[in-house]
Amino acid sequence: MAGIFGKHTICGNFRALLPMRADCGVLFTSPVHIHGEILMSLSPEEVRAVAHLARLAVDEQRIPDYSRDLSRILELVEQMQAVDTASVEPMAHPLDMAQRLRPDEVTEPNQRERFQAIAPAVEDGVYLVPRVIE
Amino acid sequence: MSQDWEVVIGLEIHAQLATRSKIFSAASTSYGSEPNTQACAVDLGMPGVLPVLNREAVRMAAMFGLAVGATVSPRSVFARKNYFYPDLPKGYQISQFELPVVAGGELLIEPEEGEPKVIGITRAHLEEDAGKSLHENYDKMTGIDLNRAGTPLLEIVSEPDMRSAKEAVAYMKKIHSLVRYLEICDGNMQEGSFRCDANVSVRPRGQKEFGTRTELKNLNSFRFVERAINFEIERQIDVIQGGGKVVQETRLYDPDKGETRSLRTKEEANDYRYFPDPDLLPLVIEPAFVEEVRASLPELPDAKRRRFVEQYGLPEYDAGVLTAGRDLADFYEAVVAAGPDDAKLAANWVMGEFSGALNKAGLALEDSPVSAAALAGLLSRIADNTISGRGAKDVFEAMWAGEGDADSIIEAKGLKQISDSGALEAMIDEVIAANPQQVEQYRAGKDKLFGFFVGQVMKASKGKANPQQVNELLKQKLDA
Repeated sequence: MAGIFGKHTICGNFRALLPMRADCGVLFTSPVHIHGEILMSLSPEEVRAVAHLARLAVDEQRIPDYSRDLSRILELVEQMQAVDTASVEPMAHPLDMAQRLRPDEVTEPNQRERFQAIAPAVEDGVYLVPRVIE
Repeated sequence: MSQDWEVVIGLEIHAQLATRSKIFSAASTSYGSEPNTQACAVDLGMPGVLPVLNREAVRMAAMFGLAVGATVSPRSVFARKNYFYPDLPKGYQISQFELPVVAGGELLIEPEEGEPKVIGITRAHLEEDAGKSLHENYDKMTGIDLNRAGTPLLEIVSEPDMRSAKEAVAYMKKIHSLVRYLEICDGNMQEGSFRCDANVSVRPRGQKEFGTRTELKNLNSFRFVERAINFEIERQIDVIQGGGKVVQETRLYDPDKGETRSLRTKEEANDYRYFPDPDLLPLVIEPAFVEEVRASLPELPDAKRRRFVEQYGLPEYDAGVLTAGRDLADFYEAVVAAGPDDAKLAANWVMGEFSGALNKAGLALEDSPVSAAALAGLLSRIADNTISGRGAKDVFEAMWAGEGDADSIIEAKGLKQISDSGALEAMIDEVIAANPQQVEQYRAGKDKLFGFFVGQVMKASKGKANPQQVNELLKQKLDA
């Protein structure tokens, strides 16, 4: 595996990796005491769960490393959480701009042949994938 | 259901917005095309593509928000909802999470049973639909059609304010009517343009905390919603009374068996790891845009119904039926405008013969062979006593079959009512002369026989006699 951030670095947002509760922050990181400070950490089980959610095949031997590295990132988050941000509006995007809107017009032609020429398996115009229900 | 239990229901309704192109791409949204012919690079999640938001989808969401008295958020944010399924090629659905486009509305419902009630609408957010998975017909494989992928959806989330399946159905019908009035969704449940999930729980009456809820899926008709919820209520009560606990899970309604069953849920199924989509900037809606949308709102169902009661003097029931759909309401008003001065007669015909014929033929109103003007023409002939109610039904059938307008059919079929009292009297005299025994019995007090004489006269006139006149003349002659 190239790195646990894989494709997620594209969006530059590591929160993608972390399971969230519906309405609050990180779900299953638990505070632990190290040298008398409260630090966030990610257990090996949590690393496996996160990897599974992202469909990443993780080498079992490297899990302790990932666990340590990811925990460090969470520690950084923990540091940042000390800052009072009550009056700061959460940033939704690094660019301070509004979404541009497109007129409701159909301009895309049918390019099925081109797209399906590079698909592993097609039949009668549908893409075929390994069966997803039993 | 037991008196000791209270039911708590919230609905999530997905309405496909009636835009021409998709929410984030310029591919067509039309239904029923050859598979994957309307799935462009954006819909397929090809590398390097970027979503661009459809203005019309935003306008439609804002319309809905204003129609339910909600806030159209000046700033809302698109988020990625992450999960893996082959009909979702990107591995995430673009949705809205913390900041939806519509927040905090309400809707008055009038269920079949019980009191009118205000249901809270928590939020409505914009998102893209997924594609379709076809599990049959492909040997050990699943077929994927991505024509639907990227179709704009408005997900409308209610508060858990409903307390019975009937209330849930009333709410769903009201939303259904509303989105069609606004012309933001065609409401076609067979084609999946209007879908509903129900969150259902039960609790002992008086308990404050909610019970554990289950989410019911596959509720693609009003009837299924009611049946599935009622089944689920009984099931949950049985579980609890049997000493068990309701498990929070997603359950699928099986309309053939009339039951809900557990969908095998992966442990992390609800771990969607939402985060703001970096491909989309925040959606900013200016006050001017909101005002523009507000000015474009049509008369809404409740207002129209009140107006029908006041303006046309219709009973509440009639006004409700006629205004359930905007097209039917418009048709009714066109009939009244072109027809005789009898709004109730028009209501009876539009709700009765006309709607019945449409249903029987399985036609949409716009495909009706009888126009509002044509129906008004028929009603005019009823109102001026040219034809009887019975005759009018024959004329209507002929009109429906394309045989011409009311006047020409009345002429061709000789259905013109006999209102000439001389001719009627002659018929009555013949009937009286032909039935001396019945006349004697009637005069001896057997009043029921009056109907017999009416029938005989109508028969003699081949149904063309004006019934009211026959009644009057018969009475005069028999009681003389």
